[in-house]
Amino acid sequence: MSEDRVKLTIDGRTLEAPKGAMIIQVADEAGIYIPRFCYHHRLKIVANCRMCLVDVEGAPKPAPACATPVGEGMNVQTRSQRALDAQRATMEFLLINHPLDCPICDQGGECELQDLALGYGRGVSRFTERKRVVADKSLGPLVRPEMTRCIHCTRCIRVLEEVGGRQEMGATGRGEHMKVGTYIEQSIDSELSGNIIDVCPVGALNSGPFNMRARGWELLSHKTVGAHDCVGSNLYGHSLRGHFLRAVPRENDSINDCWISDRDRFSYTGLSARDRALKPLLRKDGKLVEASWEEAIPTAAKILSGAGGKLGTLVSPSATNEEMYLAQKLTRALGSKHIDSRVRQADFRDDAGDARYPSLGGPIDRIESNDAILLVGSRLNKEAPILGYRVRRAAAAGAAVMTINPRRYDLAMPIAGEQLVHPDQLVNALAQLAHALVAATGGKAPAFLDRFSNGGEENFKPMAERLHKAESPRLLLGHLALQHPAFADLRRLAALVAELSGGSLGYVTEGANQAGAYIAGAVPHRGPGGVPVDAGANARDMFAEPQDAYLLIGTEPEVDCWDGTAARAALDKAQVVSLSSFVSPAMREYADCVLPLGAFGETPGSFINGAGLLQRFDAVGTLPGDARPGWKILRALGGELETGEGFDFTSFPEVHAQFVDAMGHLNSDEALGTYSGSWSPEPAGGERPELRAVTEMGVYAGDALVRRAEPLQETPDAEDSRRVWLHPADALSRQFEDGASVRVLAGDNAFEAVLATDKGVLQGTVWLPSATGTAMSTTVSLEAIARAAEA
Amino acid sequence: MLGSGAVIVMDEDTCMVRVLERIARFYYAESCGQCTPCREGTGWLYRAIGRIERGEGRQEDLDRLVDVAHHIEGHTICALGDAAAMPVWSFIKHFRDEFEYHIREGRCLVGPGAARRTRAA
Repeated sequence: MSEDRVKLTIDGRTLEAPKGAMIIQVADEAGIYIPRFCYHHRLKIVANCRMCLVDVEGAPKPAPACATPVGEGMNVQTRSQRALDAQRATMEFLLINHPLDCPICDQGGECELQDLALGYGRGVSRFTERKRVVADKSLGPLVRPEMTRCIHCTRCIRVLEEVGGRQEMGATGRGEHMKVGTYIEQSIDSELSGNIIDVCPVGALNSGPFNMRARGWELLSHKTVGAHDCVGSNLYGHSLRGHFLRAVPRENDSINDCWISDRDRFSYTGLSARDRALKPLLRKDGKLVEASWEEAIPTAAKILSGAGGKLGTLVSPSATNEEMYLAQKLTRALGSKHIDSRVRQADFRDDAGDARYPSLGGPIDRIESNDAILLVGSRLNKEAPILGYRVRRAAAAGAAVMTINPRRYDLAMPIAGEQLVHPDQLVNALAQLAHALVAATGGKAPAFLDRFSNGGEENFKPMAERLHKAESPRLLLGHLALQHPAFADLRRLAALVAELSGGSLGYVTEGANQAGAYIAGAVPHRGPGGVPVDAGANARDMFAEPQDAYLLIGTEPEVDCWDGTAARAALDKAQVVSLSSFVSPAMREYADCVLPLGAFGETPGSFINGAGLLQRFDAVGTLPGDARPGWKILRALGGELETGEGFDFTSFPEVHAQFVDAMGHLNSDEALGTYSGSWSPEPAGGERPELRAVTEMGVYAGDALVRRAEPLQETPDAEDSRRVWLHPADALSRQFEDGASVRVLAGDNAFEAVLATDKGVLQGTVWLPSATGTAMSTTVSLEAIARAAEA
Repeated sequence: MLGSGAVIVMDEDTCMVRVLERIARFYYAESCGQCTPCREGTGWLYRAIGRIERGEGRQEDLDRLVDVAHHIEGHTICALGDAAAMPVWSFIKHFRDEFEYHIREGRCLVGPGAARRTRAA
């Protein structure tokens, strides 16, 4: 036995454990259950519930198993008379003020207190005084409180602080009057707030959308995967009679631990949106009318084959591998090369040098061992909340988290270095960092770097030194970098910075399956398996140079695309076949054939996450109306082709197997590509009298499903992302007040919105909701809207 | 003997039920609320003793109070729980007759409270 291990006895069993481990951890490992409420294996230890009191030989009183480190020769009894007396005493105390409302409590049947009361509680209460009642304050649309049921374990407080990064909840008052809550009446704004529902051992914090929908024992549980970011969080989807009613985390140490984002948890609420596509729709005499599948499939096939090489296929980056694989097969069989899923990318110059797929630069859990992390153009905690959690954990362990962003974000973690740069200067900023790194490493700058040189690298010296000193730095390019008009240069420079600092480079891609799109061949320059092919038009060009027909799969280009306005204009002029789960008013205008598509949670499928992990998942609920899974619709369309080969499968596993055959082996840290951007940078520091647009994808605006998830749309985050943001000085100089209604003129686009100010926004920029379809860097002007009262 | 070790001098006309209620109220008010036995137990003790003081006690309350006190003692994070529990069982141990009289007669055995019944007969 090594020196850092000890031997002890628990309930007569001799066990070996690492020094410093707590009794409860060793017991859990050995399968000996000790009752607990406040202890949670992923949260800090507080030892305040006293449920895990056990009998330690030689100790004067029972010891809390969660906070007592094991020692050599320790003899622990978890079920001796003294231990049981202590546990039963605690149970009685917990129950005296806990309401006996299990029949009307949502937690009933899956309640830790209920379960343990069965083993440790009395049949009849000895408590005859009056019970405590606590008035509830609203916590927002996602979490429904009933704080009279609270047993003060403080797990929720710790989750928000340790996982969410902010002290949004706490305990106020003392003794019996101690209340767990948000101090003042305010919603919990963390993008990971739903996790407090899971950790709450009682029914004090329940899911708002799931409230009173079903009992735990009625639900069927299905393994699924989060469909809204490149993390691929593992979930269980719970269904009752075919309805998707709840999503909860499925523990996976290498991806999401036991946490999930609110987006993955509540997006299922969008499945019951009013504009669900339930029947095939065909345009007849200018109007979309319901049709049968028998009529719709040949019509759609005719539209698609009529376009020949002038067909553009746009696939949602959150479509499944199988849908992407079949979409590219169909598109290419029809004679077109134009297929893409990178809806919000603007710069494709370096496609030829792309890596096999856009990776996160290594396994997700390894982020915690990166000692320097540089975020470029990223609001990481909203883009991929679980990555935010991993980086937060790294920061807590001492990693230097640094940012180069065009806006100051609250990432809810300590930031070691920050550079705020105008979006136009993002490329220069990275070039200056690269120059500073060259100086720090004492190496020679590659020739191309001179082109970007325009001084100012001394600002980046501290950042460069930190990266240089770090053992395993990681750069992450976020959504704002990926949609940058000079993305090719950004990543060429980022690759150089990663190389000079000996670290890795990763991309926080949009959607759940951008990596899968590369491997399935649903990008113009890649075939199945990620093999380079003769490139067709990308997501931007296929609308800039209008095609005769478009095939849309799970996407609404007018709000999803980098230049939504251009996409809309092209769609209006072309024949459009849309496989969609929803029929938006815009789609009603431009689509000629809508084929109702099964959404996330209704069909089986698979995703490849940013770490190159292929994850297959099952359907949770059943398909509504006449909707069909994407693979079946694409198979039927393929069957209509004259050369219908390769579409002769009959089941999902067969399609999946075809895809897996094509996929080959994937590395989690896919090697960097050879990038070759060559941007002519603008001179720094010039006067910019006009406002430049930055369109940011709101946390709950990324795909058709979350846009329809009402509880998510009611959150402050969603509210913020519908606003137009200015620096207070820019607002003042234009005589706008915070909250004013303004008319926004952006290129050919005009719309009304509510203005808000934020000191974190750089002067000269205006932040617009992505749903307005405005391309980044468009020149924007704002006009006041005269209020009705003044008119 | 009477709890946490503090010394309080009282004459024989002092009703021990009333004193214990006052002590229990102190610990009920001072409990921080962090750990369960003290947070929940001090309120239980204070309310049950208060009922006896008001003449609404029951004979079984006494053994229950002693039991609850023992359930707090030794189970809490800090010593406040121990200090809250000790006077309860020691008062009842040493002055049980005063408590029983209070429950039976609805008034104090000694002192000014002895003259009036607190419970409607």
